[in-house]
Amino acid sequence: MSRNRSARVIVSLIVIATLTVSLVGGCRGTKFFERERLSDRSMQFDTDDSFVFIRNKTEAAREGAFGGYGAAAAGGCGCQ
Amino acid sequence: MTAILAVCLGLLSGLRASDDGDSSVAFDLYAFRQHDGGGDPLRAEGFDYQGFRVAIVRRVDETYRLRVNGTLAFIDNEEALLPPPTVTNALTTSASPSLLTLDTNFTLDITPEHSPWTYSPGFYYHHQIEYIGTGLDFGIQRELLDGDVQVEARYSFRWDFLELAYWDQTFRGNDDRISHNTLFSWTQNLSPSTRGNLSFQYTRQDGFLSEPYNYVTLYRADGDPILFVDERLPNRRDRLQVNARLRWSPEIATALGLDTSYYLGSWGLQHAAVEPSAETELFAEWRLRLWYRLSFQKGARYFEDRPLVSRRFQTRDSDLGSFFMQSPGGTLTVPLGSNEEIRFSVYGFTRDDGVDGLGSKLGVIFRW
Repeated sequence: MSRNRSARVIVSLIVIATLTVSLVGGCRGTKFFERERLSDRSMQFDTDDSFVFIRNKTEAAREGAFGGYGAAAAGGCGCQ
Repeated sequence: MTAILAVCLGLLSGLRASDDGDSSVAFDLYAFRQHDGGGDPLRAEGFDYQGFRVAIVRRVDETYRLRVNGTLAFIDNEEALLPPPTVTNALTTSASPSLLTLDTNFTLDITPEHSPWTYSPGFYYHHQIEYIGTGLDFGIQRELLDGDVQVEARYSFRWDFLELAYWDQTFRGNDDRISHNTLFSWTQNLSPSTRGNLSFQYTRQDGFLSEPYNYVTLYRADGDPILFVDERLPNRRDRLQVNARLRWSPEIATALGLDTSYYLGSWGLQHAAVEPSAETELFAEWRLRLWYRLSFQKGARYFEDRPLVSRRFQTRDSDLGSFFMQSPGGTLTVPLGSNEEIRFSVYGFTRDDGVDGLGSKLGVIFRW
């Protein structure tokens, strides 16, 4: 797959996911007794903080685009 | 590190603990290797990273919860390459040698009695040779709609201090860098089997944003490298990132996920990523989560592969260039008892510019 085609596919998926979350956000809520599956650990977005830490350290020391799900930008670690 | 751990443990042991199962201590070992099979042909970009992390969560009472973590890591950089003989201004270059790094975070979660809000002030400290990072964090979150929605806002301030030891072995004083990072996040239960999250992150940085060890090779028109010059980048950077995440569970203990993110920076860098994932229970409560991340990056406008002339701003840092990246990984979680478990992760990435990496993590967590 060429770079341009890969980029188009990825951007399309991002738009679809964003619209889905936005539009479905208007759905009805859940009752307390309906949350058995939601409370399972498999439904957590990140199950392991320490793994998020190491992925941020090793994959995104500088460009910072990995994740972005809450890690603060320290501006590059100057490791190398 | 030992002193910090001692302080943490002493502080924690002196507090009255509740026994609601919200406290834990985790130990993790990391190993990661970045392999340089491309990137900048005249710069060694490989390194080994080995780390040890301790993370403590201590529920003090109904109001207070303390979170402390510290990571000590050893980084062994690949040996610097000898400049080719056509390069006239350098006989040798230097990369930072093997070094130790220390990262620490202290956060206190405060949920006042009868309040729907949780406030989370904290501070951060990073230490390594020629680089010290300090910072303050503040987060606020609450639930809405009987727990169906969780909203969160977070702000982080970072002030980094650098000693400017350059690639050509000159020392050019000190400088600093200030970063402001804000995050707004909305998480919602969309149905009894679906959860979604939207978040926006804005980061602004001011100060010295180049890497002193980075140099740019200038070439003659016939293709021979002739000069090394400093990497030079603007002293301000703004970044905006949008993330959308979905998880869907067809049955208890099984879930599929789709994470996406798009990032745009004032240096012209754009990055789009999508990461499908799946988690299921194997047997005896062993859990396996797998993911495959695909991302595309359009490089910064200051990135040039083979520049012929020196410019006001320029870089040849592969992390600021264009590439397509694939990054698979997986985590296996094995319970040891009712409150302890082992977590083993393997992950890697490969980029079409020739840089790739492989890492693993082994950890154990105890909860009470």
